[in-house]
Amino acid sequence: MRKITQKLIWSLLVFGGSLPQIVFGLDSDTQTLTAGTGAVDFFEITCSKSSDKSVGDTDHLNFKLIENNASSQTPPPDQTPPQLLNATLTRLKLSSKITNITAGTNNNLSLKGGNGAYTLSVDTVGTNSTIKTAQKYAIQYQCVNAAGNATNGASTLTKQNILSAAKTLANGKTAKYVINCSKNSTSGNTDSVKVTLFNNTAPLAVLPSSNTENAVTGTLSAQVVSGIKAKNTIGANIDLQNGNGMYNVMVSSPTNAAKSYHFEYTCLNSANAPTQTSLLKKLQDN
Amino acid sequence: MKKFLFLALLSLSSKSFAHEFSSQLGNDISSTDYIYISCDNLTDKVHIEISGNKSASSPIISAQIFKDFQAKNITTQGTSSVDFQGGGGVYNMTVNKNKIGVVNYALVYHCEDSNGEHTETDLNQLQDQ
Repeated sequence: MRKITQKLIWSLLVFGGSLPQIVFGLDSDTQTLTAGTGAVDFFEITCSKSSDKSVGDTDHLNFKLIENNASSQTPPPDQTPPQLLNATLTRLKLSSKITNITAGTNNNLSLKGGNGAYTLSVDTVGTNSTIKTAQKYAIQYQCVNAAGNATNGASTLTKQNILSAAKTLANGKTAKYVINCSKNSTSGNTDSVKVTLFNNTAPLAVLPSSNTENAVTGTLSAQVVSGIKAKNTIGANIDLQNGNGMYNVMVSSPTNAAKSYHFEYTCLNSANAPTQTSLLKKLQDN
Repeated sequence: MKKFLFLALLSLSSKSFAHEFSSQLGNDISSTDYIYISCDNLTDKVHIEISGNKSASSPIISAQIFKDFQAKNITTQGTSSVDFQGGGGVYNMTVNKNKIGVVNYALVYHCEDSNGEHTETDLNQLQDQ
């Protein structure tokens, strides 16, 4: 039933159903390219075969570059405070926390605790108490060794490296999940667990002047490269078809301008169902 | 005999002269040319010069050179050059533009040792769009 639900959600997301603003599985978070000749941010994404046999191999990487509007990072003071989610990972006496994940955004946290059970707590502390609607979120996690390679991970929340089904959380409540990380026969012992929390709550209505994303300006361009194939975009959604394996992403500015941006990416099979998408590796930060 | 002499001179040229390459990017904004530049083991860096249309209304042509975990961007409406220090091996290069429209571009490229002497250089176009 969960698989059916996940596939339904992905179908809705991919094909632009009831949540058209969320088309992708993963987000790079906010990145900043500095001004100057030669500047490039350089990333690596690995697409793998899905552990769900009915999904199978990766066919292509779907990618979208989005320029951020710097002036919109802080909402105008006359608007309602944002809906926030916070996440805390704990294991024994260790803990790691991220706070203030605003509606429509996501953030990553990790905790280095070796093999064993980790507890992930999600709460709404900091949210405007007048907001009565439950907040929506989804979670993806991966247990990794010291080199960043996947080890074994299990949770009732979702399978490792698969976006969870949509969850809801009433304001003032806390949700808890257990993630069990263990040794993998190939990659060895777990070093840490990485979690991405997507706050899928519909953002509150904002004034037109404070949209969080600019229209395409051509200030930035991105190239997706894999094998002997490459594609360029200045903002349009692109697919690069090269199967399972490593995909590199470069973001630069044709005008050598400084710019804040993020990008959305997911590995998909030939029917546009999500396969395994690795966490983003940043190779160069300019 | 003349043909033999010509081929003999050509075989010497890779160590003596800069190398040149020209191509065209198609109308679509996703158009990307993908090129390998191979440098021998004596190489310290690759030098690349790119030329395109100087008109301000033309698309800006950009190229990204990347090898191992490093990448550099070069952008031009005219002529620009870049040095990328990555030793011997294969340098990957993508060439693209920021607007729709067909554009021509030309490359001058050569691998160099740490004294600035040209080393063995080879170019292979993997994708022509």
